[in-house]
Amino acid sequence: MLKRLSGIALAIVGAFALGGIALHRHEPINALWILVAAVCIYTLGYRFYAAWIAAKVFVIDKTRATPAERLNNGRDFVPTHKWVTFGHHFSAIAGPGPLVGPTLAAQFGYLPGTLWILIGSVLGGCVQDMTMLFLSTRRDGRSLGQMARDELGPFGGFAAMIGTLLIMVILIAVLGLVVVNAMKHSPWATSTVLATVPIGIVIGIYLRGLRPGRVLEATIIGVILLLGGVAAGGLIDHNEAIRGYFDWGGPSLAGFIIFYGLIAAILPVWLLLAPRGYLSTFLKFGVVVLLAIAILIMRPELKMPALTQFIDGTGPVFSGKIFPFVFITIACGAVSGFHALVSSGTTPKLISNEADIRLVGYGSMALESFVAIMAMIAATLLDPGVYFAINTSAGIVGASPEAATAAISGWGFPVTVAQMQSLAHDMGEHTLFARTGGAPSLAVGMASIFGTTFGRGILGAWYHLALMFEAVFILTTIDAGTRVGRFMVQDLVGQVWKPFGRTSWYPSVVLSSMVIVAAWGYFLYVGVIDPNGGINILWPLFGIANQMLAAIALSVATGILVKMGKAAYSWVTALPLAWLAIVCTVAAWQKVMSPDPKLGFFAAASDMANKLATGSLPPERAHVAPQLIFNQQLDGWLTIIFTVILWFVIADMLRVSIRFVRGLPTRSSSEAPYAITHLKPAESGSAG
Amino acid sequence: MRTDSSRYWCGAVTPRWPRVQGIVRGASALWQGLRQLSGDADYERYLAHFATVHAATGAEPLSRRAFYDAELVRRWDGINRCC
Repeated sequence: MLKRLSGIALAIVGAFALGGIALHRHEPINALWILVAAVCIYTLGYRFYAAWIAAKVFVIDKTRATPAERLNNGRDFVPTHKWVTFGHHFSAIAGPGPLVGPTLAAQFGYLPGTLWILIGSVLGGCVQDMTMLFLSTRRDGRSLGQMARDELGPFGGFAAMIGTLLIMVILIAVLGLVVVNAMKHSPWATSTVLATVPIGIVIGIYLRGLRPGRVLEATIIGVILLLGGVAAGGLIDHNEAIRGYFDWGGPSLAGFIIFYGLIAAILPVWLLLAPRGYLSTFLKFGVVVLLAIAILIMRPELKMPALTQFIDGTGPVFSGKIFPFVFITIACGAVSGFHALVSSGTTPKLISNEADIRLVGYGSMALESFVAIMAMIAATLLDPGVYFAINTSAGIVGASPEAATAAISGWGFPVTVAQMQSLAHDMGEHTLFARTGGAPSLAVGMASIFGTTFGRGILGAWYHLALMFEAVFILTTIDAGTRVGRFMVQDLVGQVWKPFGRTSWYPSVVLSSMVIVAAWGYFLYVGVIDPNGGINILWPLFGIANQMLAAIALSVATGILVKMGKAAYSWVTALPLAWLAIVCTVAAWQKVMSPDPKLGFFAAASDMANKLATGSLPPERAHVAPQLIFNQQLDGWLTIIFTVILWFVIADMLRVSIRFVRGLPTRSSSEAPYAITHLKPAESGSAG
Repeated sequence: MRTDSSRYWCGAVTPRWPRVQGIVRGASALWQGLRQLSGDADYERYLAHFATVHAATGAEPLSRRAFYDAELVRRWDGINRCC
């Protein structure tokens, strides 16, 4: 009864907050409304929808022993307290995506992105993560690919693997581009980010040589060093003699990131990858908590309108109408296919009782989505003119500050050169124009939140702290992603030629790392030389790939639910699947077929080819045009491949489901047989 | 595996009032949770597991450093970071 009453109270508060948002349509709205509405919606989704799914669809059995108990080996299979598992799972699924996606989607106004983050996560992303976690827990912690193979057939497994590999390549390229754009001609940012490499190595040596496995103390030392790095970057920036050494252009920064990615993939994990992973986990938790507190204290007004005129598809940050591109752009903040890999990877081996699956699977994604909401707040509290000046590339509004501010003011978002200069000066930067990719505008937003709350005097330091946090985060994903991609290539080639599959054989390690780095390095390089900034091409491609992977995971989940005899409830995954399939297909169709060169890949290629042939391109653009033309065509073909794979997986799932419903033979369930648990509730975790 | 939390936090302190006891217990649980989350407690957990399962075979457990190395490789060979 008490539960029901508090549920009703929550619903009322949530309705009020949403009503507040609805009634404030033509005036600035306070961020607190959005924060409160979000928390209420997550809580309602968690308490009612997730609980209903756990009880009715999964039929969670508290007496059933989990793989962590049955296969306990003291290492990866370990029954773990639910809050510790929650922390592990959250730190694994939390990446830079939910920070970048909402920032870019803010070009439509704050409302579309916010609504999709909330609805998409509660009905889609959280359900996907929780379902994958449940299915994998019932199957000894098997991966998405293995489950697809076992339950549907070899094609599903193959599609999941190819999908993962492609999305990894695009993801790393686009994240690399975000970092490059943030560091371009910024000695402070560049030196701070460079400093994180030796800091990582020092921590790595400390953790292995001096005090093996004492992660907490090493992390504290590392964070102090990182803060020192931010301060030192400021000193370097003010020193005319030294700052020139760190003033790099886009191509050299791209070269550095490519070189770094290759080295990090080949070096032993303990030296760079692991310590950086520890530091970025700590930074993530720290910044998320700090940001939430600061927003609560500051209660900023959102200056971006609820909707902008760019919902018609003419947006400068990326092209495409609000449908389907707001869903593609938000990506990981609402539904992320990548999470399905973690939910069917390390996490199911830690679950000590099936009853914890709701908190770990659904709850972690709700928190991740909450981070996306905060990123949206940080992006939309900026003056819209400033937001567009930072996020619009020179190829669209012109390279000179005067041309850019005139164009952006002409859209109805007034901004002046003086305003941008004083902002750049406050942030310790030479210029903030055309810093596309979302990280710099998010850092400006975060710096103004932190600055207002905790002291304005050091705005530049706050800005570079936020930037460093994003960069450390992104570099961790680049390291780890390259390494995982390397294993996938070794595995693939190893099936044809055995010695290549030995993960410790050095020639194979170097060769496969080079293959992966060359793949993402290519996209990164083209993005850097693209005068339109590259983000507007790469991010939609990444979004499509990520949502496609989510659709593959949801297909596998739906197929398994039907085979479990839950066809009547299979809509819990089939509905988000149908929506994602529509969104992905429409987006892919427009990216491939649109005759508008701003939107369609092939249209852009032929448009540029025409201009090149008639000689109407300025020389510096004509120089890179052949590469850009090839790249647009390649992106078009990639999009076609994504879509074809997606529909094949859906068709495969439907085939298996229909056979099962008709009583025809299908692959037998790969669920592990029931065994009773011997863990007492108190024993199921060691933390309490 | 259960680690004895009192070893790290309140071994020497035995608070008199139940309320303080509750706070100390809560703080100790939090600290243990943090140590598990960061990985600090992994080696102790491994030793405890080894003692109950493999001790009879007479095999020697890994050293702290060898365990750390093995754990890192295992952990970073799979997908543990998302976008």
